[in-house]
Amino acid sequence: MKLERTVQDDKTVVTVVGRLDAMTAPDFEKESLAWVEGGDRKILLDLADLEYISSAGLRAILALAKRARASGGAVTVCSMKGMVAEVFAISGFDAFLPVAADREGGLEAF
Amino acid sequence: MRFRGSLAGKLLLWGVLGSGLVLLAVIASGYLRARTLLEKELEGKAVELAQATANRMAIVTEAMERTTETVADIVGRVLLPAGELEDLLKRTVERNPEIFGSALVLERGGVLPIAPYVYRDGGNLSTTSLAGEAYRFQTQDWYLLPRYAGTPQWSEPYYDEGGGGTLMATYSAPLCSTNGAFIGVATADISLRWLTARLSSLPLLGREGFAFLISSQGTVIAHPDSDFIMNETLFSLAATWQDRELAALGRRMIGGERGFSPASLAGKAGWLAFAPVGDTGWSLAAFFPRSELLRDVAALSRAQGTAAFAGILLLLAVTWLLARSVTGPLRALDGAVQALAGGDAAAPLPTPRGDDEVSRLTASFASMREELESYMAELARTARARERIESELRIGRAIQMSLIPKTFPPFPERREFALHALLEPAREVGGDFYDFFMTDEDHLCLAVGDVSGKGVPAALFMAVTRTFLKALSREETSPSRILERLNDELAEGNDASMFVTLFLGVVDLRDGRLRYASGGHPSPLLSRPDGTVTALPRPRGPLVGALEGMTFDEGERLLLSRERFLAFTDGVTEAMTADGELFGDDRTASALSDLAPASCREVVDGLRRRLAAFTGEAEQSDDITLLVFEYLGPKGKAP
Repeated sequence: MKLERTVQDDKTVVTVVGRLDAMTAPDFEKESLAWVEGGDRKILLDLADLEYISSAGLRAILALAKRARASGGAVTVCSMKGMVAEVFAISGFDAFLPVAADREGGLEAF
Repeated sequence: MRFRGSLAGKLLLWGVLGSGLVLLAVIASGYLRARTLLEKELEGKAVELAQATANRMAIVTEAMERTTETVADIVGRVLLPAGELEDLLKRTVERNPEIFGSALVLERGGVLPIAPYVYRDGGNLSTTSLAGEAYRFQTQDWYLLPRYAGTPQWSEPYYDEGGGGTLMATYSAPLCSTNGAFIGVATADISLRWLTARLSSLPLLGREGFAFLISSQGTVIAHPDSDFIMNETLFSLAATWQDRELAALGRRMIGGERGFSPASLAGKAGWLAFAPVGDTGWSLAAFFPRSELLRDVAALSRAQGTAAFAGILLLLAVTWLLARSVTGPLRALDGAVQALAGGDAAAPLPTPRGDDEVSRLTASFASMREELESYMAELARTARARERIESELRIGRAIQMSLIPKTFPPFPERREFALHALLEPAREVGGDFYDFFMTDEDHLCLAVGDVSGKGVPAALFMAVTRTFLKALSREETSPSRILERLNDELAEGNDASMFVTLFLGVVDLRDGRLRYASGGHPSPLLSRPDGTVTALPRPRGPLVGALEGMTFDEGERLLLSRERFLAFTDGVTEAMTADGELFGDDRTASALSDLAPASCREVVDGLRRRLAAFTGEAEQSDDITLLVFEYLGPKGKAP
């Protein structure tokens, strides 16, 4: 898994590349919580290049969303495809955080 | 110090062996070259020396010959009275020290022959007559040879019994009257003892070399060893020593040749130079022993050998010191390394001194040991951590497996339904569970779930989930309502953001009505007796326990008799081959369809077998949970 973080104005866009599973989730959790600590409030996760997500990955994203919310911020996800989109649908993740079809939609959602 | 196994030993051995061989070769080649040169030089000198000596001997014999001939001449021409003749002989012997004795034989017609003989007897001259019957000069060589040859002759050496009484050779010249008739002989004797003394007085051949004379027949005439004189010929000696070359040399010598040849006398190797002695027919031989000739060379070689030996000893000492200075630290290092190899990681390494290869080796070994130590420590740490994780996983697994009901059939007295379930845990990840229980006489509650995470936390979360589920299902009859309350209970204080995906169904066994809700869980598959398989529509509902205040929709389905549904976790559809291919929804559905005629237990077992066949060697990555429920119809209608 690889994370590519860019800051646009007050928004942070993070592209998640690869697999987000039990192996990589702890890394994601550690790094993403550091963003919040560092002051990021509006975080958009672009999951276009995410190949696979397991329940551990969902939990890591959920933990980030909760932390951001507690700090007065918000997390949005966008551009899910294939298996990742399916997992998001089945898990009802849209109940927890805003889901956008693409990056533009995601940025507008804040 | 072990010699053969040690570096120092090898250095010493090869150093000494190598330099020893080189020195030996140098000395040997020097010796051989010197010997060749000396031999060449000797050949020229020896022949000259032999010839010079022979010439000096010839001076003696020639003087004798002239004297004898003069006497013969005088006596032949002048008729002297007997007393005069004796005086002449006395004077002759007196004046010529080489002459041992001298005789005259005069035979004049009609007169008895007279034969006066003057010879040295101690310091005086003695006179005797050889004309008596006792001596019989007429049979002696010295008389017969000149008489019949008509010329002066040297006799073979002989012992003059009744004459001079000593070993001698005689030169005799015929006396001729004025008319040329033979009237007697004049002789001069030379004592072989005198000859030998004369020969040995000549400066010749160093300490061990010697000269000897042989007659024209090969008889030894003069020799330092007086036993040989007259007793041996060169040929008898050659026969005694079985030396054919010596015999060949003897033939050349009596043939009057001069020459030089290697030879050995009485087993003593050397060279023989020879030359004829005047007209005597004798040959003078000079023997040069090899040992004497080569004494200086041998001495030089010995001196060189001694120096070489001393040099080698010095080399040995230096090599030993050098080897010790090199191998001392090496041995210390060797000891430390062996201690280390034996498991004593704290064994002290020798302190490196200087900046040579050994100290660098020691230094790099020290750093290697440090790395090894830290690696070992790291390994131990990792092993401990892994052990902790594994044991945690094991405990989690034990809790997980203790929570699920494992007795089948679970309600043998119920005829309205059949039920079978299986949970096959994966090695690492997984938090699956299933549960079923009667909430009252007519309602069966069924749950299949998957807790996020692993190990003890997941197992505890599962236990909590199950407890709440059981409690809530007694208070609520609606699955969606149960999930909403369960979600709120679990989400409260859930800092770890753990959650569970859950399928929850409640069947009214009186009419087969199934009410169900889903918390982010895959939909169960519905299977009819004819093999038709469809997915139950999935009511909306998120993961359970993630956030408070979520709402869940509810689905409903009236199960006909012999209709069944399969609830499962994603460990089934996401079972993977080694190449990463997923088992998927379609294979799950078609397996369920194929197994339509089978019992619930057979469906579970069959699916499991298909999964195993599909994944093959690949390790199971997630828990696999299968739960099959079949409605058999209201009570009493069951077969």
